[in-house]
Amino acid sequence: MKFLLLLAQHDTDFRAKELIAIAEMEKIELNLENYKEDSPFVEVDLPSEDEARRLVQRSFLTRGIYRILAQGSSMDEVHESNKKNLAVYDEFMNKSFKVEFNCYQGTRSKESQLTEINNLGYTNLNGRISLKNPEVRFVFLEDYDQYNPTPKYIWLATLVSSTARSVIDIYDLKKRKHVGTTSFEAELALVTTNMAQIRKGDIVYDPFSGTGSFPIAAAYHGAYVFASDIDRRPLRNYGLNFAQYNTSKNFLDSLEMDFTHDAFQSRLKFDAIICDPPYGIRERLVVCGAAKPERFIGKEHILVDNELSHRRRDYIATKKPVELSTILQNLLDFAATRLNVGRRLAFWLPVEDRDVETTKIPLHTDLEFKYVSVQKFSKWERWLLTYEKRPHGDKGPEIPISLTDDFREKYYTRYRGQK
Amino acid sequence: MKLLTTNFVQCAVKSCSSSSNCFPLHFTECELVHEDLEFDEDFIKNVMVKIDWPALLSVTRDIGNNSLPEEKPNIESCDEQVLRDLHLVLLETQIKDGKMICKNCDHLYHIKNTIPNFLLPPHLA
Repeated sequence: MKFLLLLAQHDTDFRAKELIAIAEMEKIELNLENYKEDSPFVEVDLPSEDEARRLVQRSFLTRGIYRILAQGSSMDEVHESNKKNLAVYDEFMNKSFKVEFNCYQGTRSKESQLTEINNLGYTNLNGRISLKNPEVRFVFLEDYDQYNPTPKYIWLATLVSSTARSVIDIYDLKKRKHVGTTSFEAELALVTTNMAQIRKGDIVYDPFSGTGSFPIAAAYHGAYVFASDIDRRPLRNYGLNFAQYNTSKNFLDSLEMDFTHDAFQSRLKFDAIICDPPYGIRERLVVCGAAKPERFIGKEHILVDNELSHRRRDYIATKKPVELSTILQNLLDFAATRLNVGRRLAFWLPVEDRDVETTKIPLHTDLEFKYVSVQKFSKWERWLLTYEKRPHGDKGPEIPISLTDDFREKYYTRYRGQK
Repeated sequence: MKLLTTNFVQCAVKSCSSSSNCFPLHFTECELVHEDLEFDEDFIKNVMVKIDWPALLSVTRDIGNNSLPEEKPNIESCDEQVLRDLHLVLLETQIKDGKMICKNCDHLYHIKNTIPNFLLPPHLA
């Protein structure tokens, strides 16, 4: 069966990979050879409407999937091909319906729309017309070149399924109760959960949680989440957000913890690890330990009110700076041992201008690299890397992390210093 | 911190990780709170497979609850009430304030306003 995917026309580097991740998860064979970066339309072949629905219903970067009834480079061609195929209308014959237009980079006047709708008279549809709640939505999808009043291609199709796109608005940071300087935008946080193939009942961990942008997104799918952060402040009021989205039961715990000295038992395995590690820009890049160890010699014996100071409730552990690459290497090592086989790690990485094609992506022997997606900003980029835990005994190549070295320094000297 | 979490955390000091005494932690001076949470039978069943029952008994005794049976309930054959009780113990019962002590190195961790603090002082990091 031929279907048409309508994609969001932004974050284009994420759209196809999101669909591939969902297709792998739902065991749907998906061929995206017609996919083009500059177009929101993709024709795909799928066995049935059931696969079409499962492919898009949890996608955040797809707007809808349509079953193609007719197509052509002009309205005449569309009606011509439609008339040759009138048998498909049998199943819609007595259902309430509506006809809509969806134009990309162009518009069609109301009069012209009405003419084309009336031209469909030959289909002899008997159903009631219902504009509010039709059983079948027929849609003319039109692809225009910019500034050109006539479309270059038109599909006539029925809507099979809408997507999870409306969720983005519900999770919008502007409406969220508890946010901070490091909160991650809802849309790409949700997309991250698809790359990581998070499902209902999964146990998910975010080691650099902040105010919980990723755990909240994971909980949307019904996953159960652990979160930790070395900074206690964003963890307070953590439950507010889960309460706001009615996912309180999915929030297990948030821990004040240094990821490089984690307290989790190694027998606890995760179904997904998703995070946006600290870059050292909006938050400090630190781990537990003394920056100047000589100043702390003997301090473990200091008594306050007859109590060792580091055992007191109000003790604040000192922290020392650390390289981002050290944290990331730790993250790969942790994921390699703590993920269930076949499950995924997805994390974000700040990168100064680099060519994603020629850059060596860091690799861990126990993790299979799946995809990288690039979000471009004016002077730097953010990459989303996705890995999958290999089966036991299956070893891949190893490439240590090098591409983030001195990102922080470059960010401040090169970007901020530039006038 | 939920009792479920106590079943998965140990002393964060690296040299303790090889000792069997670093888990479970010893809990004292705990103030408990109860939070009503929606019951999810599938999740309780899944998580019960992962629960270390003797460790859970040790923690519940630490906090003064002796009501759990000595033997881990068989989740495949038990009735729903048992699962609901486990839901109450593992997820709805939370430690708001308290202390956790490693039985190996005697390091003390605090739970403050339901958030456990596993940060280490420099001589242990």
